[in-house]
Amino acid sequence: MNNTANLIRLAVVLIVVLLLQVVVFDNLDFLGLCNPFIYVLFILVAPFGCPTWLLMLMAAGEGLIIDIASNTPGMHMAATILIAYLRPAVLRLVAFRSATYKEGDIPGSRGYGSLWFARYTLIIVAIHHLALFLIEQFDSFYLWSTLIRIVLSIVASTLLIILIERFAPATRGADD
Amino acid sequence: MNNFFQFLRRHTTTIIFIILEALALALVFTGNDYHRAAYLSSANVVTGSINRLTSSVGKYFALATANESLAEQNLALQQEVAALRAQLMAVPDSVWPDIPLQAQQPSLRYHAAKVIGSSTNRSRNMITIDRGAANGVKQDMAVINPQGVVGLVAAVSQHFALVLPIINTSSRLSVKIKRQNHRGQLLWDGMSPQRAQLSDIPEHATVDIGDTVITSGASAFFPEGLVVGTISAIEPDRNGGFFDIDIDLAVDYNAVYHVYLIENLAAQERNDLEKPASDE
Repeated sequence: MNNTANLIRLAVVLIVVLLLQVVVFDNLDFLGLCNPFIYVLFILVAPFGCPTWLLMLMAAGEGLIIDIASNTPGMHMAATILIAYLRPAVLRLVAFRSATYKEGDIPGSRGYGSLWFARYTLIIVAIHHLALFLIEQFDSFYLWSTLIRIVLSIVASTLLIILIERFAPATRGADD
Repeated sequence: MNNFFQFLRRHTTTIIFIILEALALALVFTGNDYHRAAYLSSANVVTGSINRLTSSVGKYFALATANESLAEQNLALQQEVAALRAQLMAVPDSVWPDIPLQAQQPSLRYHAAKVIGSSTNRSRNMITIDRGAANGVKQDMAVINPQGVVGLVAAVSQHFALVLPIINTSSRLSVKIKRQNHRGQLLWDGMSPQRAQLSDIPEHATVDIGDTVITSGASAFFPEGLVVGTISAIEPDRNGGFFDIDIDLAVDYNAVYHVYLIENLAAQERNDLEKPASDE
């Protein structure tokens, strides 16, 4: 897939996940216990070989928009930059021994399997949420209640992201 | 020197990462100064408008509750008006000169606003309302709803404002126990949006579960006597000589739709008076 198509696709994904996050998921609050952050999907589906500095800049911008919408200055920005930085390492970690990532390809359940995508999503989401909750609650950290919230939020975000990735064509690129 | 450039080239990504993270964390640690950062919050035009749109969809689900609460408040006000009118009638004309009520300059002015965005599950919760500087909203106005004290206006943009509710770990509110005038400070520990903590009540005070806690009037922004909540648990503090008291908040933060802002017309004068005195 060429670069222009990839760029347009990424822009569409970004706008969709931002709107979904701010309009729908920021207003959902399951028993005050977990908030799903599905906007992480944008970082997940950037093409393989996307330069890490570029991914981090996009992550910073995305995080900042979420921060502005939810009155959490810098918090989502910090967590999202972190997963952008760690993404290449996570991709190496979840790689099959035989399969290789093709540069420009999109990390997705279609090309690499649902199980692969689930593992990849879970690790990235877990890093993101841990960082986010630690930054948010460092001054009022209550071990058990915070841990429960972190775990429930990781589960909710991971499941929702897998669902959205499954059914949103833009995240997968053109059908081949 | 060559080595240095080589080092830079090899670690470009990490260096960019550190710079970006430093920027983000700088925002975390300075951005809580809501006073200066209205445009960096949900009170800016774009997110404010999106929030208003979202809440205009969501509000239909909440209409029944909001209506009920407004009707209840209406009833209470009607009864108060009737009682005051009866009292006024009882006063002989010679004692009460014939001055129309409107001539009395009120020291408080109320503004109505609607909540368009709020959270209850973070440690620094905020509430966004649909009135701003253009509607006469100013920083530090007290925010109440029919149930009790909601919070304080923390930042104002042209058409929106950001409210710092009691359920924000940086909220501080001077309160007292209604029955006996012991003053304390109301804090929030970041746990339950239904419960806040009252400190500075000495152990020699007689407090009971169920006692009503009201604003003390020590702050110029909150008029005295607004309901904050009721005492739900009392524990003696181990070393300080003060009680650890839990308060059930009167306001249900999961259902705050209509709020009133209180503009204290005398507050400015009082602040001007108190400020030089406390600076010395």
